[in-house]
Amino acid sequence: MSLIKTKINPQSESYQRNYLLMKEKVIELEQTMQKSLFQGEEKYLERNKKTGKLLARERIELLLDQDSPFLELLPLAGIGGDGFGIGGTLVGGIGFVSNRLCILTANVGTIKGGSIDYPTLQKNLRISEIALENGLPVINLVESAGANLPDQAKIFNYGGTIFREITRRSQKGIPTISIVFGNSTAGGAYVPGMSDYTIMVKDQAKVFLAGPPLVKMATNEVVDDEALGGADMHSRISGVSDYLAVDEKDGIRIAREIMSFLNISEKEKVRQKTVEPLYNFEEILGLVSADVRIPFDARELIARVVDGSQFSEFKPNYGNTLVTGYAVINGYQIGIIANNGVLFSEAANKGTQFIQLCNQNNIPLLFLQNITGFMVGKKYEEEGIIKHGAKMINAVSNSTVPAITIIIGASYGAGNYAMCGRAFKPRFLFSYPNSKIAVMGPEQLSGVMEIIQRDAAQKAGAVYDEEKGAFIKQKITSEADKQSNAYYASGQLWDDGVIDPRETRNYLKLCLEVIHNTEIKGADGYGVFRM
Amino acid sequence: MKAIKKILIANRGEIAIRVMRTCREMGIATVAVYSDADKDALFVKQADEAISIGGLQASDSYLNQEKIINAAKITGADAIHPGYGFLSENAGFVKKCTEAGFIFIGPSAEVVEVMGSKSRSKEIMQKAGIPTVPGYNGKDQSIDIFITESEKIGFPILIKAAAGGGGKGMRIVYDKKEIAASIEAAKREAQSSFGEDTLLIEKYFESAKHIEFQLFGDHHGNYTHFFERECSIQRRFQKIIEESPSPSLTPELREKMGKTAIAVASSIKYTNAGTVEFILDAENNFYFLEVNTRLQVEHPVTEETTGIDLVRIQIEVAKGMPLKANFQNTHQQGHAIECRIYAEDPATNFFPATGNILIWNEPHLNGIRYDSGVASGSKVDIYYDPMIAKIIAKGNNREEAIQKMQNALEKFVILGLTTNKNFLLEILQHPSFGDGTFDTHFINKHFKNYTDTKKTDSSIINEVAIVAMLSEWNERSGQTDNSGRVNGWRNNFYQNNWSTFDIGGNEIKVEYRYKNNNSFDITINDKNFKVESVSIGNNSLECIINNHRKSFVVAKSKEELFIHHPTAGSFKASIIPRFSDVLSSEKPGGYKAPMPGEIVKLLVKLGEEVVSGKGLVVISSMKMETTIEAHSDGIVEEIFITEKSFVEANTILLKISSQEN
Repeated sequence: MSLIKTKINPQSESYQRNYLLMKEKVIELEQTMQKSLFQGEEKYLERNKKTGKLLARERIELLLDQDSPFLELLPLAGIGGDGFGIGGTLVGGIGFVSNRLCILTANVGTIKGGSIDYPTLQKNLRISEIALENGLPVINLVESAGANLPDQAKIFNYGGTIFREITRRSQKGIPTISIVFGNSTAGGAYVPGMSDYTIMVKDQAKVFLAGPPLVKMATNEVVDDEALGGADMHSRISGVSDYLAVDEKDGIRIAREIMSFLNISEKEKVRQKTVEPLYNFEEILGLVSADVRIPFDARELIARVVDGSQFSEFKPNYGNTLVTGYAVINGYQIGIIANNGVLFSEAANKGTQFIQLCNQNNIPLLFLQNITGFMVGKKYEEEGIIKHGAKMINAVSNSTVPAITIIIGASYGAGNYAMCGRAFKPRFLFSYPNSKIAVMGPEQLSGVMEIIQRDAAQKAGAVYDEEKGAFIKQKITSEADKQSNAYYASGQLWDDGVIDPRETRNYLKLCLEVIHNTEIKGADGYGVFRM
Repeated sequence: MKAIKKILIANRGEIAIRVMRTCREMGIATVAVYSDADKDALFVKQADEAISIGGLQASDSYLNQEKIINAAKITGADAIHPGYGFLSENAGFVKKCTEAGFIFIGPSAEVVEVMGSKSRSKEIMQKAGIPTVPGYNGKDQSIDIFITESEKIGFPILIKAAAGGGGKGMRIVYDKKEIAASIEAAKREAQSSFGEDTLLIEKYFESAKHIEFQLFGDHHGNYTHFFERECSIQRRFQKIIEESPSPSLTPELREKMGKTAIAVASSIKYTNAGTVEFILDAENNFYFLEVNTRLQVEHPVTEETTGIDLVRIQIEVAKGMPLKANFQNTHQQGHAIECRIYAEDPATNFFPATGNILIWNEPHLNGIRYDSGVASGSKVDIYYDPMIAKIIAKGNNREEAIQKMQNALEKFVILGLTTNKNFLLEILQHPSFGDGTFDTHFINKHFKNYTDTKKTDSSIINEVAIVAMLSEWNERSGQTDNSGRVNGWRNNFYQNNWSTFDIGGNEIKVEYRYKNNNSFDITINDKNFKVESVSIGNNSLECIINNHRKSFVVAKSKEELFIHHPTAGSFKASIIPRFSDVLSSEKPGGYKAPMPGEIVKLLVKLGEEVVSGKGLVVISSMKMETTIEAHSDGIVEEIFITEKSFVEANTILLKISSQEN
């Protein structure tokens, strides 16, 4: 290990300019995150408070251990879409409950009765995936009217995954606890129904396949909702509820108590002593380029994220557009792969080798993506850049050590794949607010489109309409730019959240804690490497 | 001359330690005797030898004469020092010691006996021409005679038990109409406290000072005094602050009273240390009150102003040495004040407090002496007097002594036990104390409904709450070395974290957000604080609250934090858990012991119907009896205790079902 010596000059004009631009992006992120905290209109919140009920986020704060960190996942899911708003009607994240790492989710009952829109379903499925991959128990704080009926076509089929996953986790010994605070109707009734432990809050929980109006329609039976599916009935008669909580606080207390006696084998975590980085994390804003077209040295970022700013670089003098090496974050060893320019054949080979080494040594991987793609051109095609890139993608695909990916700049083309993009299932994937994700940069994209259009016009013997062409080019550029924006990506759940670059280390601290929850075991073999 | 090589100290606590100090200086070996309750007490550890005399109550231990004399025999002690209280003024004990061949360090049995009776001592003094308080102490105990005598003396009058002391059986009567009822009540009390109901009456002074003179007599007919002590600051007829010289005496008056004190001593051929108590009225008339035939609690103020070790002279006189001739030339130098630290709560009428002293830290300051019976880790329990230590401040003059005492009291850290420390500070700061115009009614007059205002000052409570929160944070984050586990980090901040404490009955919610580098944003009741935790040691916590750097002392016992605030003294912050445990929540209708103590009497039976206000249980703690009364009508449903059993504070005693059920 050796100390990364910084070459940043915070007094330089370029640093200062970049800092201001990044600061703007961070402020925009803060404002966007602020909007994600919306839990319903004032009158609903007021009514909720009057009846002595807690809001979804208050329930989470009370359920968490005091001073536990809480990593909220997918806070911007659905942003820019036409659903129920930023983050949907579900709050979910990772924190400690009774000293155990858990997934906590809470329906926001004060927005549309907590009914599920499409982004909320997607969010639910992704969180469920995180729980399974990392062996995290799940505590659901349930208050949902069920599927948002206008969205039913998009929701119905995949919605079943929620219930399937609860029991599949259970089969693997990963329990789910549900506390029902309000309505949990129809399909929603299967959340408490499938859970390992179910707690219902007295006079509040209403769980049934069909509510009184539907029952009246179906069988002409007249029954009130409390008798039909109240907490008391389910705790005393049906047995759908295991614990009857006297109030919300009591329900949360019971869930904490259950967590404390669950016999979940927690893996012995081997950690070294934590040393904070030597350099100020604030400088990340000055050094990470606000404009993805301007390159920066990834080592400067690494220096502000890893313990003691210490880094043991692997093959520093070979394939130097890719930085590879070992470091420690919050006491946990990690292999880092970071882009420092376009991927050439040597860089791809170096990356492949490093991924194999980490698998051999059971060391998790951190990918810092800032990649415009693999090098193109005759020379590179001839030397087989496709097969070299393919090797790296092969290694990433078959790697079994957990990986965390952070998009710190560009994420274009096959570079996204080789650097463990969403399709390659890193355990977590986060984006910086300046990051861009697309098949290629918007200028290249519109430029390529223009070339194709000109060629087509020429072949057809027609005259290329310069004015119309410029207009179309401009439109394509702005459309591509919009769709490659970090917020658009986060809204589509292409990542697990847009993050303040200064908080990178804090995110990694908790994520490393999470990925060490299960055994870290490297791959035994890979697909055929094309040599 | 008799040899004294080993002394048994028939006492406990601070006075035992005080006597041992002089013994050590004189090369005399020491023997302690101790009850079961005191087996880990400080004075036992400091003695060269110690004999267990068993028992818990004083009657089974420190008042058990046979056990103590036997201990002296076993250890081969030459002399017995009785300290104060317990057997120090018991003529029978003096006799037994002497008969068993031990030197009793104190006056003769005869003197002790005579001076022990208020009426007899008064008679003797009247005969010797010493002014005494006008009164009646005749054999005729009829109500009529008390009425006529009272009218002769003039109201108000004071009724006292002839055999009494310590305020027991005392009553003030302002009007002829009240006298019959008061006499009857006083007789009952006297009978139960002292086994005899003989009463006497005396003139009662609305404004009087309590002045006493330190006497010494040897076995060669020499007498001397070491000036006065002013002991007018009293609560419940017990002194709490004493000083020397008295701010009320002129040199002429001092000389006159001193001569009278010598006359008292010579009239009864007094030997060893004793104290003549006088009442000094507003017109500077003084009256003989009584002679205390022992070393007084407040003897250090005399030692500090005269430079004389009174315990040393006690031992020398007991050996048969004559008083030094130059004692006659002793003079008072500077000014000394003593404050008695009591384990009691001045805000609840000086109710005794018990508990474990988590931290006892006497600040080392110039001119400050501590006579303490306890240390960190000591337990103060229900069996003995709640006076646990004395602080003595010496200054060039009275102002300086008061200033030094205040400084010492502020810096004195006592955590885990309720004491009168802040109350003492308030007395010292009172203008009437400052100018010396106070009298024995001082506390009743100025501190009738005393509450510790520092304990209700919201800015101080906020600071205490902040310290409690920081201390708890530190404990949680210290349980794991993993900075990723306990840091309250949020990537999408929604609300502050919070801790809730009960501080003096106020529920204080501390809302906080950890920033980094040990700094926090804190909000209490909409007040915002920028707080940085500078250093947290085992029991120390230093932090910067809105740019003001302060040091606190913190100790934790179970779910209670004891915090010493630099200017406001000790506070208790009880952690209010986020979730109340349903099973341990209070039984409705349950009655709890307000303090640890012995169940003296059970006043109800199972199934008995009780009305609100009916006495249920009598608990005795630190010489005080408290009756627990029903606060609502109902039926005694369950009884969890028996008579003579000991209970801890908050033990559920019995349960009364309310009638609605």
